[in-house]
Amino acid sequence: MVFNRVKNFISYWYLQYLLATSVYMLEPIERRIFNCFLIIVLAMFMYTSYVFLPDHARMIVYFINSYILQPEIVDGV
Amino acid sequence: MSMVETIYMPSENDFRGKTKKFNGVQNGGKISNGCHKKTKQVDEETEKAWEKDFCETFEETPMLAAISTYIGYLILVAVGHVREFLKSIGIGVVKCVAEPKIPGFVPLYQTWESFYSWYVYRRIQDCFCRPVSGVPGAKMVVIDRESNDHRWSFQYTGGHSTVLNFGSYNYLGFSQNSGPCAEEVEQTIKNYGVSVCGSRQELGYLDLHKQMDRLVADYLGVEDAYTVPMGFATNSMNIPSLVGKGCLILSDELNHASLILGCRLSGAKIKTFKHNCMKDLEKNLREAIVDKQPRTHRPWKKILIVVEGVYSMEGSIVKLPEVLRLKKKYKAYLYLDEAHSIGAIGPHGKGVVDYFGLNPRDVDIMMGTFTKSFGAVGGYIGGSQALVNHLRLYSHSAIYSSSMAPGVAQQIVSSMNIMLGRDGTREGEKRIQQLKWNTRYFRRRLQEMGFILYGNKDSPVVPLLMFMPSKIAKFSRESLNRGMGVVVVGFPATPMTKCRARFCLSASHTKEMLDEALQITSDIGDLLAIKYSKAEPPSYSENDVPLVEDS
Repeated sequence: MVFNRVKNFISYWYLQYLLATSVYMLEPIERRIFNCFLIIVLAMFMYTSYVFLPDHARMIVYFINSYILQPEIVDGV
Repeated sequence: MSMVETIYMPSENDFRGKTKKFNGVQNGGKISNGCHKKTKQVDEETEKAWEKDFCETFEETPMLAAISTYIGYLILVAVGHVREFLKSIGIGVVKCVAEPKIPGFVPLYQTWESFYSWYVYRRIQDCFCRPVSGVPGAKMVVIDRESNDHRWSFQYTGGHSTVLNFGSYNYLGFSQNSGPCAEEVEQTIKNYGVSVCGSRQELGYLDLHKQMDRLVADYLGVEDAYTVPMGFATNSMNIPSLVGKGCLILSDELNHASLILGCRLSGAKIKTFKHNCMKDLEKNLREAIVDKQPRTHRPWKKILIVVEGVYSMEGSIVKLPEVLRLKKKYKAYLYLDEAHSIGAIGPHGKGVVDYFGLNPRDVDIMMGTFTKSFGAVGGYIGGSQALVNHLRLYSHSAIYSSSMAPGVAQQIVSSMNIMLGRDGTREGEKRIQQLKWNTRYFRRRLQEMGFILYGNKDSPVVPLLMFMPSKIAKFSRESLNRGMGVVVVGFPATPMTKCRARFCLSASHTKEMLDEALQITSDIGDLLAIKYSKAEPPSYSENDVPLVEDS
């Protein structure tokens, strides 16, 4: 019962993705290649954000904090 | 309420044949410089009375739908280019015509049109140009076909599907192969034969044609009429005999291809104005009269305004009272193409002039076709006796094409007699009222469901917007499976981001058929998520249309 509901949910949203991006109109082999390509790009995006995002975020917060607490002295006096 | 009107009246008789130049208004022998400014107490109440009942909607495209459409087209074009590249290497089967690139010769296939037709249109080609068999009345028989090579070619499976017909232009339901019209046509073919085998000016003018011309003139309320055996040719072959070089044509931007072809063939200068926008038309008229011809600054010989009664892609009705007011004020001529509105609009089925309650003698050239409402083929032009006399002598179709086949002419005569009530029954009135009721009911129910519809509340052409090309493909296939046949249109017939499905209502559709169609549309609408409309529910309804009961 729950499995049916999940299956309906996924198939509805898969159809919406196919229609919105016009992948519905492509031939089956083109559709498979496009889906693989999209999954690879999304996987790389997620991997990159998992590896690099925490460090980037920490550095941004550090720079903002240092700018607020102690403004940089210009013209070195 | 007062309205300041600037009256500047050049008439052709002032300039024709005279060499002296003057700018100003000639008034009983006295010449004055410049324009007269008069303030007129115009009764705006009566002039704008038609606007109260005029209800047109063109809802804006939702932002997400527009973005998806652009992304979709980007992906299709990118994939198409990849396929082209692979084809040039030799990978992949693309069954388009190969053209050898011989240096020094112009390429045979234009780049964008061929690309679009092979890599976008071809993918959903099974939704267009479906073969039908039998009479396409309220229901039609679609021949099934399938494709084994991704829609480059089709094979018949051997099956048929009987589906509801919302794709044929059958407004009054005369698309029948039985009934009084069909019997009279059969008798006429036995008497006159199948074809006339001659042009109008050479032995092709039968007494049947004379009767048909007279009947069309009576139907429209004009002095005389002239008929042409092909609807497209009525426009493209007759406009060149009415205007020529030195004339100006102001045509609506969404005019039909036949009108555009006729205007281009005539050699006149063409200017387009925004669809149904009277301010733009007035601005163009004023500029035309003031600036005159581009290089020589001679005044235009004629200014012709070309509009359609009902625009079939948008479902909008022309604002005829306003166009007539502008025409009279600036002394232009009006060419009204009533292909989709004759028979379908108006309390007596006499077109858009009848719908607004105006005088048919005000429109200079009333053109229309018999294809949509009368179950025949061909077109007519109605107007003053002088106009029709001129057309009978100088029109291309009178000289070069054979005249209308007797069977077709009889169909027109029979159906018009029914519409005018001359056969003694109330059949004509019944059909008109049924069509009106169907239109209001269908449009109201669809708008209440939440679809975006374009056009006037009274137009029997109902465009349902879907914006994305993949959605129109899915809609077409799903509705065929569920028993309803509709026409879907995309680029290039419509703007690129406004793909739509188009329902053509008919007087032969019963309420049960409409309910079934509405249920199917609603189910598919939920499946495809095309219920975009954020407008208020419609204020019109079908309850103020009285139906004629069978006695």
